[in-house]
Amino acid sequence: MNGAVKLSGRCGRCRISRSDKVAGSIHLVELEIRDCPVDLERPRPGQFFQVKCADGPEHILRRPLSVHGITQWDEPGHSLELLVEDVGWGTHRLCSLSVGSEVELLGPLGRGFEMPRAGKALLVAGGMGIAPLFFMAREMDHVDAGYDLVAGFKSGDCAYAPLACLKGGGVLCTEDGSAGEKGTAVGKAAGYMERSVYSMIYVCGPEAMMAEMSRLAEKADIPCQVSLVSRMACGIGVCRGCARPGRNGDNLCVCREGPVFDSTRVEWICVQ
Amino acid sequence: MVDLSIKLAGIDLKSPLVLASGTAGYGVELASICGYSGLGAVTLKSLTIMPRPGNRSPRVWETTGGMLNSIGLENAGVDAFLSDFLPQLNELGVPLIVSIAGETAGEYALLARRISGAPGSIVAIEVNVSCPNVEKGGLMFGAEPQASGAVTSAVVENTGLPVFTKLSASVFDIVRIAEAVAAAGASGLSLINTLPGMAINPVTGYPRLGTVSGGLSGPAIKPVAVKAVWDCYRATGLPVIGGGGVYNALDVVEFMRAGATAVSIGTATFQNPCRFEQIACELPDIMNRTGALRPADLVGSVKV
Ligand SMILES: Cc1cc2nc3c(=O)[nH]c(=O)nc-3n(C[C@H](O)[C@H](O)[C@H](O)COP(=O)(O)OP(=O)(O)OC[C@H]3O[C@@H](n4cnc5c(N)ncnc54)[C@H](O)[C@@H]3O)c2cc1C
Ligand SMILES: Cc1cc2nc3c(=O)[nH]c(=O)nc-3n(C[C@H](O)[C@H](O)[C@H](O)COP(=O)(O)O)c2cc1C
Ligand code: FES
Repeated sequence: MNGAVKLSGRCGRCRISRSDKVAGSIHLVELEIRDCPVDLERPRPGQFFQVKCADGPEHILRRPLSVHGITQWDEPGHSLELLVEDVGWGTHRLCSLSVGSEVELLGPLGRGFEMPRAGKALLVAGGMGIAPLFFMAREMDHVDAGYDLVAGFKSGDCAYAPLACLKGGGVLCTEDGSAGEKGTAVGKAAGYMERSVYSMIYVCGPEAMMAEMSRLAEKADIPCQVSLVSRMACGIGVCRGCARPGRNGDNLCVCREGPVFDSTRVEWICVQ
Repeated sequence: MVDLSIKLAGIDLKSPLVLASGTAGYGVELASICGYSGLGAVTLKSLTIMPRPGNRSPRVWETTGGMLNSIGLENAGVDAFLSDFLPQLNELGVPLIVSIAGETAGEYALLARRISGAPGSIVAIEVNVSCPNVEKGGLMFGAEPQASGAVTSAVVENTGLPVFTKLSASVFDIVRIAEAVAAAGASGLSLINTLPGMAINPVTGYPRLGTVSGGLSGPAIKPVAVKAVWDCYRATGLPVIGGGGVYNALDVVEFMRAGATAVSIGTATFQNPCRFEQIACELPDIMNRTGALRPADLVGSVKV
């Protein structure tokens, strides 16, 4: 995951073909690629799109959103799924758009997760970290790779992880026990690590949770890939707005070199 | 037929559109998405002598009609630029304006020498004395007529390339600074850099940027930029690369009317990396509506 990659991103307009509230303020937005003027490259788990939530000069920045799923990518009428939590102006607007509305996408961008070469993987999602990791699980199902998925949420009203449609093992947990098992994602993951042998750990979630999970992985000497979050302006490596410190005194360009990094490269910070 | 070509302080450019420093990286990244047809020149991210890591995260925040940034001149340093990026850029063939930033006049002089000795597509040097996001250098020079002049002459004396000094509009009297820079031998002015600004999360009480405050750019700052261009153009008559909030071709013509010979596109590139191409397509039509045959016909044509 070192170094810069050539930009694969392209611009294109897509039409919303489905938009459903799946939990609390979380929406599943499906975008139809059929009428998109550009052939979008097949996205890989962990990659993201820069989504233009409105036209016009009032809102100048796009919002980065992970790929949550793709359907029938190699056939006409293929589509892209985003899992969007309404947390502010842009995500609110995206969640409010009705079916048939057009949205402009730039992507797929960044470097995604590397598929495990052998053995079983542990996928640990905290909150909206489920968006890329659920896609990862589905892609692993395609190649019959073994994994367990831990999906942790604060409470049942913001929990979304339809684990039943996956082949791998997994658990949904909430901190208050209002849905699934009671406990935190890290707590559950630690339990899984005691019971099974994993060759790779994939993590996406809040900063503190990813920091804790990478500490566990590094202690157990298991390679760990984390998907970082950072505020972005360009999303394509030209503004350095997303850069955050690496552990070796370097800077990590989250949009271009990431968002997925080997946990040993990351210097964990407190973000507000 | 509208002819978009311009002459900027003696440099022939095929279009008045220029990408603004810090919003187009080292110039190579955008080329792989858009190509550079319709563009006059690319201004590169400001270079310093040594690599700079930049400021702490978060570094960007969207505001109404714009954004705040506190990148802090993160860059690879002039040597890495010359060895790693310039050869690729020379292959692209797009004219380059190289922006430089230092902490002392001596550093600016050294940077000017290094840049001037480099082969290829570099057509001008932009002297950044207006970055609000660094502790040393930056606005420390740009807020003072004398210091702005001293830095400008340090560069002029060490290069044969045209020199554009980039000013901040967040100063007491921008005209006095522009005049000092003109007297120091600048070939032109670049106007404007971001305006100092700040945003706070009202609920948590934390600033939105890791450095507390940053620089405001985007459509929200356009009226400030248009006035700065008009004031400095009128006072000095120097060619101006004008910009700040440019979003479409109408904005480009507005800056030309205020006195800009070339017009820079910055933050708008973040909404759409190929925005400059769209603007280049719209521009001939807008110019037709004004009756102008070439950009030069519009420069300073505001009716006052
Ligand atoms: C690579 C990447 C992938 C992401 N994938 C998803 C996803 O699949 N689903 C999803 O719901 N969200 C995802 N996010 C987070 C999403 O980008 C932000 O929630 C969104 O940009 C907020 O925009 P807004 O206009 O709604 O909120 P704003 O009004 O801009 O801000 C509201 C709050 O969100 C925070 N915020 C703003 N920008 C970001 C950002 N880039 N990252 C994190 N927090 C931010 C702000 O600090 C603020 O507290 C991802 C972020 C990154 C960097
Ligand atoms: C993310 C970002 C980085 C910038 N970096 C630089 C820089 O390194 N040097 C410089 O002279 N100006 C820099 N600027 C200022 C722009 O070049 C431009 O002057 C300013 O943003 C106003 O134009 P705009 O509204 O079109 O963006 C930066 C602006 C932004 C938004
Ligand atoms: S968001 Fe601009 S460089 Fe990453």
